[in-house]
Amino acid sequence: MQRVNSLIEVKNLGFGYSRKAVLKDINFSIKEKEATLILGISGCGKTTLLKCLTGVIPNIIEGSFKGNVIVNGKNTKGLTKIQNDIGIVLQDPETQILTTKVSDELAFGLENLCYNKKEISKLVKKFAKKFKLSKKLNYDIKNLSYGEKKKVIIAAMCAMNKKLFLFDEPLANLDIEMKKEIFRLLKHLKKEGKTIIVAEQNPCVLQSLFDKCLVLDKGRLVYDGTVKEGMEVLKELTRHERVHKTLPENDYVLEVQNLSFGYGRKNILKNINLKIKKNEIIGITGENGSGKTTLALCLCNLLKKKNGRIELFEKRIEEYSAKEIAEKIGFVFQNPNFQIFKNSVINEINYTPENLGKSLSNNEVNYLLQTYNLSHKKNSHPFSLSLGEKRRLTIASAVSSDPDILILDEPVFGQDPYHFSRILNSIMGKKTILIMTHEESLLRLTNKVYQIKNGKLVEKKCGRAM
Amino acid sequence: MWKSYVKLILFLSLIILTLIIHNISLLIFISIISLIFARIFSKNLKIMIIFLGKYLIFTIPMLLILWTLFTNLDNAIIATIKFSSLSVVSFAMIYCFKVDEAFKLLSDIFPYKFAYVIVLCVRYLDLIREDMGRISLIRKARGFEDKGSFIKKIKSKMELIVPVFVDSLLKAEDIACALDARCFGMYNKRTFWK
Repeated sequence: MQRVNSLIEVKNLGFGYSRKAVLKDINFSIKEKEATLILGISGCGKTTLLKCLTGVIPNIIEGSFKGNVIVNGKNTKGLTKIQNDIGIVLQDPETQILTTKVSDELAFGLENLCYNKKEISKLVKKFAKKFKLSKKLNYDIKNLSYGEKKKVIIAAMCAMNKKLFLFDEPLANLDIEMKKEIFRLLKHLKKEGKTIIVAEQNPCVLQSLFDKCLVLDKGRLVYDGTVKEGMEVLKELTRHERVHKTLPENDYVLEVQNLSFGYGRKNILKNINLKIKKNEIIGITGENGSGKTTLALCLCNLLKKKNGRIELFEKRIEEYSAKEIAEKIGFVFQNPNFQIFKNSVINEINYTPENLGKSLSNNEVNYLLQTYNLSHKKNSHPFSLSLGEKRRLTIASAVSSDPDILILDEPVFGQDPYHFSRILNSIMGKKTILIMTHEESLLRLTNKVYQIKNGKLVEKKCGRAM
Repeated sequence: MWKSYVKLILFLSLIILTLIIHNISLLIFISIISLIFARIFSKNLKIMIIFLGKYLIFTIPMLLILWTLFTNLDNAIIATIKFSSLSVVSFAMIYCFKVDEAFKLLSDIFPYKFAYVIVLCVRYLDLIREDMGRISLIRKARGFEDKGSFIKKIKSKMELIVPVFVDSLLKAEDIACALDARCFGMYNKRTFWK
């Protein structure tokens, strides 16, 4: 057998679903104990590349697969046995949780590897201590926060003693404390001599960790070299358009007094007071699960049984019908898959106005399609779009009925900064905007930033401290 | 471990009893007993009763009408009560077992891969239900009003199925990837911790 000098070797890799090619002609190699960063804007094929490395593509997920991926001296194509030295942590922890308790989750992989009971309890204890989860071993995973769930999954992977770790956007959707912790974990893994590959969109915190950088653009590998130069290549790809701040007018559009809300016995929001002026842009941050989305739902009167007073245009919100509220407030939720109801992009944009009994002229539709860069896809099915395109579509369909207030829940999730600043420019100054996000770069664009802490709303100085 | 076997035998015997007995009052008694057991073994009885109520509201009238068309009313009443008590007992059984417990128990009887598929299905049904609720909220936020005739309401519910279905298909890809990364199905056997 020939000597293996690089852990991963990718030759002429190409992959696509039915007609659409996702990856084209990719060549690179990664040595053992090397930390590699994969950069690229959303929809460029980072996740697909990671799935190719694990062998899930082409063995479980089908498509047109070309070329060779050699990991640890074995070609991934046609492998019948699962490789136990590759661990992958995907973006959404929700779908990767396979049991109900934290301790069971840590033990799940070990059980599959046929360790005996004594070894398992020893390893579970060891890794729980290492990841500071000892107190939470008996917790239900449902009750953990988003970041903690991610930590549990990483711990489970580490317990299985893997050689190669793949991370898909480990920092996405996390607050600063959690980001630091994940950074520490990655550093520790590198120290232990593991090979790490991380795919990220904006790796501001992580840069110092890596030896090597790959940049992907539209399915092609455009750069292979040092991290510093790679960052500059990425910057070229995502040139920011400047967003001009506008000053708000003086009338109050939305007033919230002493709002509290809870599910069952658990109180999520306590005594919240908030005043929003016309054309103001407001950012709301807070840990995952702190109640940002709940607050947004309350503002739209979608949650009943709340205490307190909400006034929309100096009238109590309970006095409006659901239709009237939808006319005044546009809502864009986090998961774009949940908000698509029609079978083509044009019909989707027309959906809200149709519900409200209006109709859009051709010119208006074309203008929307152009500003949101969707003209070339106007007749295709919304579910065939990439994640970033779906997000743009959901914002476009919320704006189409011309609401006065726009609520955006995690708008940059899966969206590249270039398109997003273009969208913001087109709506800024004309609408009142509420942004629920963790992203510091977004908070800098707002007039005011609030933070939800333990159910209370506190005003925060603009996030320049980062 | 013996506890879950006791539970299984208890509920299986209740199910067999409902199949044998033709007496209406006895059948109702059995379903009440199974609810009491469910109260003892699990804490979230409220969710179960709401779910069960929604389910029975549709099935009881349907069964009554269909059965009276083919036979007579007396038979129809007995059959519907039999069917509904059977569903009460089986719902109570499902809600009494925790996911991990059920997995362990089932993998004693079936191959463990097959057992995990069943358990995963039950777990994700719950997640899909949550997603349904969220999607209908979103639709409301976009100005949709749930008014009109019965058929119109059902049609508007059908609209929700596409986003739920597509999202769960996309999730399935990730679940496969996660299972693969944890070496699920690497060997034909598997140890159980605890």
